[in-house]
Amino acid sequence: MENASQTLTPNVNLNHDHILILDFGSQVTQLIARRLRESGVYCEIWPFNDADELKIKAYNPKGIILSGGPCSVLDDDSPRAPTCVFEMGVPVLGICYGQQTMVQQLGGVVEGEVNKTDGSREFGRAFVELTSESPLFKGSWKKGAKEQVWMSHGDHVAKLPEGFSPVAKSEGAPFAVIANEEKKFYGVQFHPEVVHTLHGAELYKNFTHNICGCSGDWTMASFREEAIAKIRAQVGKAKVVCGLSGGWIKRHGRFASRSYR
Amino acid sequence: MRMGESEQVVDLFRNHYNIPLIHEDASELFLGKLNGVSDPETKRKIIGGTFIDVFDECAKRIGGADFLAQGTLYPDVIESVSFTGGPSVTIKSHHNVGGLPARMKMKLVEPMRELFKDEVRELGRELGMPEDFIRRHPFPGPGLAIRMPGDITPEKLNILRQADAIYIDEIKKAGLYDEIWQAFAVLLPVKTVGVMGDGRTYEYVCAIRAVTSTDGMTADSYPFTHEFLGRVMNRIINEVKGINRVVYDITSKPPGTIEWE
Repeated sequence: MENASQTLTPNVNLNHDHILILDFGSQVTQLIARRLRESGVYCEIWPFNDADELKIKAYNPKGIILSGGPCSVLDDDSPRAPTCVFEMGVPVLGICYGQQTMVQQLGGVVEGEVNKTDGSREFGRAFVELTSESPLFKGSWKKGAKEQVWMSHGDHVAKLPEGFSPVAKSEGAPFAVIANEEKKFYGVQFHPEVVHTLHGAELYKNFTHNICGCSGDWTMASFREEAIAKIRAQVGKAKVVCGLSGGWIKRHGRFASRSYR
Repeated sequence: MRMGESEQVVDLFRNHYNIPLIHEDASELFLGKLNGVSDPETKRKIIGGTFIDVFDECAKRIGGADFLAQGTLYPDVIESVSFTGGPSVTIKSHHNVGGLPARMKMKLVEPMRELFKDEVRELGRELGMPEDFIRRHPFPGPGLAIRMPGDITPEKLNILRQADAIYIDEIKKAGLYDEIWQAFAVLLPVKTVGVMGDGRTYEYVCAIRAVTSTDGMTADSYPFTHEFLGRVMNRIINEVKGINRVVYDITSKPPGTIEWE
């Protein structure tokens, strides 16, 4: 039924600039979407294993974000991003696990913790030191500054793939932020979507607006008009029933042509 | 429904939007079926089933409907990544009115299925809805029945509605309503001894609850001042016949849940 209703109503939101978030199972993936929406960018969250090349190309995102996740890329059968993600010519931002799988898939090396006291694990508040400038930090973080971020990782990137260079380091992650500026591939070890990463929202805005070129045209004002048109197209002159608020008050009539006028 | 709530919703739709809303009062039917039932899960099942019966009946009376409109939100439809159940993803099937569309052979209209809750509030403002409705705290589907552990009687519902209205009124007067995610009163199936005037009383205990949360997944009890709690206690006991003791629930989620049943 969910599918039936989806096919009935084409997703007009895709007329706006949009980003794809591939979910690797992080507890905070939804917060990535919230940060993007807050800056006026439409986005959708898809499970990593329900996103094949055909589907991604049809969606035609202006950029792709790879979320964090509970697995280790060093484990057998751990999830990977579809290869096409790196071949479509769109910017890619990897968060935590997303960074690690990007690094491994592009020929770099990820290492696990040697033991629990070697200092490579970081959970909670941490600081990154900016070693280079990047469009990712335009207007917020400067080279040489130390900035507060939120970390939650055991593994870390040990060797960069070709074309990448380090942008920031932390105590437990020598490559806390990495970039391939030519291909517009970025990876961060921390979680910019949580409020404990100060200026994390600006990082996402830099990625979507400056790097992917999204215009920030997703607003509720535009959604209102489009949603009304969409409902009219779907319902036509047919009857709609709707129950209201916990109780069960309802109305009848030509919903689309009357109630939204 | 809470005190005055049906009237408010009916007024908004009939007078503000000129929508010929049908207000069906089925309280006797619900109360009859819930008579003597105290198990929380049984309560929920009876209420869900009765709701569908009544809804179906009303829809038939107006000659049936082709569509059911419901307020599915994006977090309800995001497929969650599952690593325990094999490579496939778990797909949430969410229906606010469970099973109804299939039974009535209706198609779904879900205008908000791509939106987060805060975007819906923004949309409400775009549509010119009164701020009171936009900011209204969440209210559970089974209604006051699950804010009343034990059996449900019209007498107890009346007591609970009055206490809840006083509590919310004081919260609004103190300017705290928008800081709180959800606040409500619970009527306990326990009577305790008190003294009022020169007489001994033996009446119900009322628990009051207020939580802060950003998403409903985790929650903390709201740190009211003792002075505020004292004022609420005073008004509830003075104004509501049937309650002689008020307690404040300080349980966070987890380990508790926001609602009591």
